[in-house]
Amino acid sequence: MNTKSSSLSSISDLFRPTNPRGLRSRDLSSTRLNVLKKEIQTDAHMIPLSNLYTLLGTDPVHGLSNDRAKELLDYYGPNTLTPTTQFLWPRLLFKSLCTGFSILIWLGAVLCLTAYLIELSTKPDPSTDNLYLGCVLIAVDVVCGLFSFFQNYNSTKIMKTFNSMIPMNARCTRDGVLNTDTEVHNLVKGDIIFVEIGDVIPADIRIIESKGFKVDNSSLTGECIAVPRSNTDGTDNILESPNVAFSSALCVEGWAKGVVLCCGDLTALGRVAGLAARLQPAPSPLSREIRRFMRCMSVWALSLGAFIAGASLTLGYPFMQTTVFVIGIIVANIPEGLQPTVTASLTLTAKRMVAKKCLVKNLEAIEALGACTTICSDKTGTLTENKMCVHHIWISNKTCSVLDPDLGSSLMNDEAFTAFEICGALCSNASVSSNGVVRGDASEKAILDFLFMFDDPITLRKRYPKVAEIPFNSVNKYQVSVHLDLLSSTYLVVMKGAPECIISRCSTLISNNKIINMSTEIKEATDIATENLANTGERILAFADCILNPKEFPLDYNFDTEDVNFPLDNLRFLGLVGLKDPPREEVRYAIQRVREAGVRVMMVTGDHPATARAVASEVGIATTPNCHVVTGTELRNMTPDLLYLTLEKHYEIVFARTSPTQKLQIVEACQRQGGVVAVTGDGVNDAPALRRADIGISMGITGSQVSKQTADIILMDDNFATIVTGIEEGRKIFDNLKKSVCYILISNVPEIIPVLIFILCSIPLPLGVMTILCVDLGTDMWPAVSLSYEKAEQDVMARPPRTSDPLVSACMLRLAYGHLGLIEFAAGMFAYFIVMAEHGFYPSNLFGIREEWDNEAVSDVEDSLGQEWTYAERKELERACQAAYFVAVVISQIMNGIICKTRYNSLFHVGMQNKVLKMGIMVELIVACVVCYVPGVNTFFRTYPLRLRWWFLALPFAALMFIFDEFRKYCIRKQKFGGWFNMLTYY
Amino acid sequence: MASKSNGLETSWARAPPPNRPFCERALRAIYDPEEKTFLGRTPKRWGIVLAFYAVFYAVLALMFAICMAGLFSVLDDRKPTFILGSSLIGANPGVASRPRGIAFDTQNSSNFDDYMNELQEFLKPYENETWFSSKKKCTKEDNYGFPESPCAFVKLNKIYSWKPDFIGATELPADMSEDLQEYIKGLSESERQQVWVSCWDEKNNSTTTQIEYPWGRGLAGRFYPFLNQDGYISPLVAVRITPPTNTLIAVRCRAWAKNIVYNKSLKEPSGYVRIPIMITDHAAVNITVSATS
Repeated sequence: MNTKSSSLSSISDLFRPTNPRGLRSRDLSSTRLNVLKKEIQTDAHMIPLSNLYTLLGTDPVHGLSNDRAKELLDYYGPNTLTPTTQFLWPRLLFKSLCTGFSILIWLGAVLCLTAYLIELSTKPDPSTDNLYLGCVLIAVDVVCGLFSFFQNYNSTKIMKTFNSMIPMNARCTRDGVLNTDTEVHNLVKGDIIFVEIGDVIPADIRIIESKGFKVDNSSLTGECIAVPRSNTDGTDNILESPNVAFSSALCVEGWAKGVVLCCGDLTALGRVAGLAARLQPAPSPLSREIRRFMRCMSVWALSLGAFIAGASLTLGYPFMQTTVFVIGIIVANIPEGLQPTVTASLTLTAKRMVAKKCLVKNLEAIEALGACTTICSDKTGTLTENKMCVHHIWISNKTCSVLDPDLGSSLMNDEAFTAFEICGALCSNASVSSNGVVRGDASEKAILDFLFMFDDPITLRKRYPKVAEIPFNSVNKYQVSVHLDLLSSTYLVVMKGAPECIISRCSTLISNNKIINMSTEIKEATDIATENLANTGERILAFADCILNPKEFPLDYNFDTEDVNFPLDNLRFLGLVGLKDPPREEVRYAIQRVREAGVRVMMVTGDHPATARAVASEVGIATTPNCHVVTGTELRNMTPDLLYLTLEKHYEIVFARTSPTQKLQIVEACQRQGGVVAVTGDGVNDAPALRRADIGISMGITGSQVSKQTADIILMDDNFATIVTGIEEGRKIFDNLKKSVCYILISNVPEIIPVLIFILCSIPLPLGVMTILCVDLGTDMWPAVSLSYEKAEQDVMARPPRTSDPLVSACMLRLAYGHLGLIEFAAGMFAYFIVMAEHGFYPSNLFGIREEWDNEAVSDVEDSLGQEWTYAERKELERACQAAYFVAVVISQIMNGIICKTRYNSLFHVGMQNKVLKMGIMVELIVACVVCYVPGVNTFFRTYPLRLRWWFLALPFAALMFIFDEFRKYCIRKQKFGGWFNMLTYY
Repeated sequence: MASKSNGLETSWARAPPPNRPFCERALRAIYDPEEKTFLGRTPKRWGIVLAFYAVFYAVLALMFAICMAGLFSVLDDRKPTFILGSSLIGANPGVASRPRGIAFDTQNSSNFDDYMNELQEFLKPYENETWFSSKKKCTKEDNYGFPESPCAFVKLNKIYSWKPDFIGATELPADMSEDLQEYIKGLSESERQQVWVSCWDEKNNSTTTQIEYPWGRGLAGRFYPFLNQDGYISPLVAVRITPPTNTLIAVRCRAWAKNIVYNKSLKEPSGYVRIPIMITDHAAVNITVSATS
């Protein structure tokens, strides 16, 4: 016992808010994970209560003292679920600063600063260009990093506010005073608390005293069955122990007083949540895509840089010059704007989704939803409302559906139904509050709700006051109560329970206003009715009553429920009710649309196979009767390979009776198949699967706290149909991201080739590194983001999910680097040559001029017309040329943005509806003007106030781009040239 | 499964290609005997792809050529589109010198032969000019003064249609050195139509550095304006410098005209040229060393 309690205390030590042992946070986190993976080891539910009180230092009547409670609160921390260290902001910040291209940019910055330092130590007055550039590169890195950091940070912050949005109070005794509004997070171990019907249990408690106390553990197990809890002896497994009630369980009946055993992360709920939170989710398809692309791009940029460095060193360029080349190559090759564009596009889509009541916590999940191939859906609370309803009643040897509009009139004059009404209203522990809200067990609630449609059960209850009661227990499987009929002064025994128990106790049956004997035929008929109802997944309850003879049972008769002194046999059988958790209205249509979009929908539930299958066929998950049902027991005996094969073999599968870990296994098996898996769920038992899935979708209203914390997407209005919108948006955003990436990549070409020809042909540099950054992060940004506002080009929901369709395909690279980029490069070079030629340097003279041109000591470089240029004059001309090149790139990028609006349709067909893009083009022009004309800004970016006519130099090339691209799309649509355009350039 | 809406099927959407060892995969990437593909395409497909790109690049090149031809049709072969202030070259000519800097070792004649060759090459176009051939000092004959007192030739940058605004004898600026002022005053009115050149050692130790102007101290006004005439050559001023050995000096030569702006800053130089000179003489070093010892 000592070891056990010491291990208990060491665990609580591990979960203290302050790190107690000075462990490094990573070690602490993994230690915690290992602890959570183990079963709960405690004997707090086994030892006598008095021992427990001494152990916890509490008193069952007076509770803890306020001081002690405060001390414990300070020591162990509040009774809340701690988010994992993952959301620690410095780490998040560090990650945002060092992902993807950032490392390359850091490298560039370091090169710049090294070059500056070398210059500083060798030259008396070094040029500050390298210093500037280094600082700008660092600034770019920091700004990009901060941008994505705030995006991520905001989404976690939304969660935090979400967390605090749920106000909860508990009734807790401290210092002998009962506080009714103690905040739940202030509860500590040893507190004495009261819970009653309707409350959510705030921590794991051991029951001290209770009356008719029943809890609904559906948030832990996913099954809405109320189980009784009382002060009895515990069983070995604390999870099944009948004297412990767990945090998050809902009290559906009675009241209880209990002592808090553990709080926060150490509760059963906290453990599952903690395990779920510490599981590493699979990286989203989009981030995999981007990472792959970045890796390729970085390798390409670095190898090109290394090649250039090697070449220029062997050609005899000094080290400084080589550094400048390498920086130029690296900066030109990296699409710096990619990460901000992707993040911004996703954020905008997420904002749009919020308007549709869909909170996107993890931005990439929205795209992953578009790529998703399989949806594993939980049943209770997700597909269904997690609310019992009467679906069928069987009375007078006929089955009536509740949905039948003629039901009321057909039953109106049926005595059987009147008796049934009375029995239903009386034999029930559910209470009706003054404002008409029914509280109690789910099935009793359902029956009362049903009865409200015909009569008022409250008046019935007033007419028949309760005299005695035998509550439901799992041995008897029925409940009985005895009532006094105030009108006839007779006693009435009403009974409700499982059909097989009730029918065996009945001797007569009321049917068509007659009382007939229970013959074998009638028993068979009831059996068939029971079976039929059970096959549709309904839970069946039977009702029976018996009017006691007033002579045998006079008014002052003393009913004894312990030693039953009234008849429980030879009752009159009244009828059956079929209860069911009905599927949500919109689910069927939504699943149909999802399946049309090529997404496989599977059901993974903790519920019974028959119920699961019935709901599956009702909502359209199972369309054929031979839908495969796998139960948890079968699953336990399956090897992973067999599970894999089963998933391959059957398209429609229902998994029933599954445990949280099995849900996780199913998700992992689907992922092993190469699928992108979405999991919808609402309970804590879904949390590990939600976490592991590519997209975890939780319900905002019925969903448990933990499932919301784990999920990537929260459906705020519990509307399953939002998933369809999500898939649509996800697919659209992927199409549009392709356009944005293509747009960004195209401008890379006119950035790389100038550096190459600067080295190879020795012409003055046509585009400076600063201007490259200007294009990548200034002018290109808005249009690239605005492409995500494009409408879907084709019916995105009519095609299967993408499987081998990458974000950046060879086709896109061919189109960007081989076609459109080259046209932009031509436009830029044309502008460059024009400005040079108009000042006297004809193209033929430029080749090979660089050594003289860049030499500060040479103050007379002769142009083609005999004029001689000093260094300062040459550099000014160079700036003007670079500015002209920049403007040409901007102008052709504007045309490019218009081109990239569509991938397939003609622009004339699509039109210029996108207001954001139009604005983006305006902004692009304004930014270009600011960069060129504002004094100070233009010296910083090495540009020059250009003559007006130099702005139009790129127009013929822009026109060529447009014509070429329209021609290309026309060929793609019409499959011209044997589909060669499709094969080469359709991205 | 993964058919795009344009009807293209990606061939292995369902099953990934069989996993082969790396070498075989690499070989198959180069030549696949089953598919008869070379680098992923059959020869016929390669032909089509190349033709496809050839046409595209031909169109692009044609477009570029047309644009460039259009550009050259509007350009004047002899006159720049923008002149003086409207051009980026401005109306303030830079000053340049040949050689741009001098550094050699007296013991090693091949060292300064390079400078002599450079100067000879530079002065070749001048050989037919009468004013040039009449000069006696700083010519090929006296090795341009090398090695003891090398000559540097100072000139103004050519700027189309730039005309100097000469400084009259009465309005000589105060910062002009006295010897130049006297020199100008000693000339006749017709000879004063010149762009004056004055040189000095930047450290101002005139005792050790001697500067002579064997060809006179000005660039004659008759050479201006430059209009890209055939056979135009810039006027020159020869500066003969006798520097101290084994020390680095810088001689600054300034051109004087009213429309030549002088900015003494080293970062944004204007109106002057700077000639760094370093003559290493081991004999002299030895003498000084022995003298001190």
